[in-house]
Amino acid sequence: MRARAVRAALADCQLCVHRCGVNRLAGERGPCGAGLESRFFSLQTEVSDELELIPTFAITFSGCDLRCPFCITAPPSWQADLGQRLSAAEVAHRAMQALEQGARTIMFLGGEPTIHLATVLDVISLLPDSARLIWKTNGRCTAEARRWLEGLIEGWVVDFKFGNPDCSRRLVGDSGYMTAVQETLVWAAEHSDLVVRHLVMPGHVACCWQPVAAWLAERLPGVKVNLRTGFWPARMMAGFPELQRFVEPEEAQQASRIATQYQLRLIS
Amino acid sequence: MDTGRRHSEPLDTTELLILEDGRILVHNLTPEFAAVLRELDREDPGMNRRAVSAVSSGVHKIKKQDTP
Repeated sequence: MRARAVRAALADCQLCVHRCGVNRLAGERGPCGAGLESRFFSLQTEVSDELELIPTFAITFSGCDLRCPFCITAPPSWQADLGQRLSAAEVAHRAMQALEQGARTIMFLGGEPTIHLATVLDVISLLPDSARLIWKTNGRCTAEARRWLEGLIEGWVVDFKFGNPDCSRRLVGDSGYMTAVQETLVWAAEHSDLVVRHLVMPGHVACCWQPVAAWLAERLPGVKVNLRTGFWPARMMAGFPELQRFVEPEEAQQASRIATQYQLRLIS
Repeated sequence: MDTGRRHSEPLDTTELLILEDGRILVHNLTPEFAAVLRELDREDPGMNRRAVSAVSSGVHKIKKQDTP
């Protein structure tokens, strides 16, 4: 029922904060490039996520509403037309097989799963109620998109990437990034189990991680935080010289000290 | 490794980057590869817990060569 409603709403797509309003039913594409049909970048069981979630069966959609220059799965994961074409029934079947083989959770991710919400809801409708569902997102979904997911998702894993409007504007062209993600974080904390992830970027500890940590301490005290320091320089970073290297051990230590300073609840 | 899949289906994939200073960065870690990485350093608590998680859940079956 929800899937049908979301699919109908694609006539004026408002799923992410681009609010581009394109008519995906008529073949129009917005900044994310997603159309009516979803494709899958990969489906596999993984153990690289939070310990409380693994092993997880990761359902990875192609296509994203962001263009982070440090994205290590781009450009393929940015292109909604790439990847496997699978029916919701086949995806659900493989997810159930993974559960039978010992996967603890099923994770929807991308790219960005929000832009494929109708397909996600189709898949969820075919899964048993007992399946523990995880939503891994960049947090730029609209309130409408969140409402469609209400009551279905056990845990949200939200990337909080940038800590100030200048960095988000410079790196992804979105000065409103923080407001959008903060709204999602507050909502997710109220409606589900929440893990906030922050990938430490080289040269961005003070400008991005510190304000993110401060905000989390003030607005979501006690929230689970996964501080990741394994930044992996990607290929599209011409123009962003500070991102063309790995995180130095000193930067990782500084990030850890900030987490301690703000008494964040770190998990791995 | 024979995963019992049809050949038309893509194999599970883990990406690995080994840095000059010995750090290993991993993306999309599969249970099978976690078991391999654990062999590099059995004292690494992080990798150990991931590999053990996969084994204890039954996702990754211990093979003879995985045992000490």
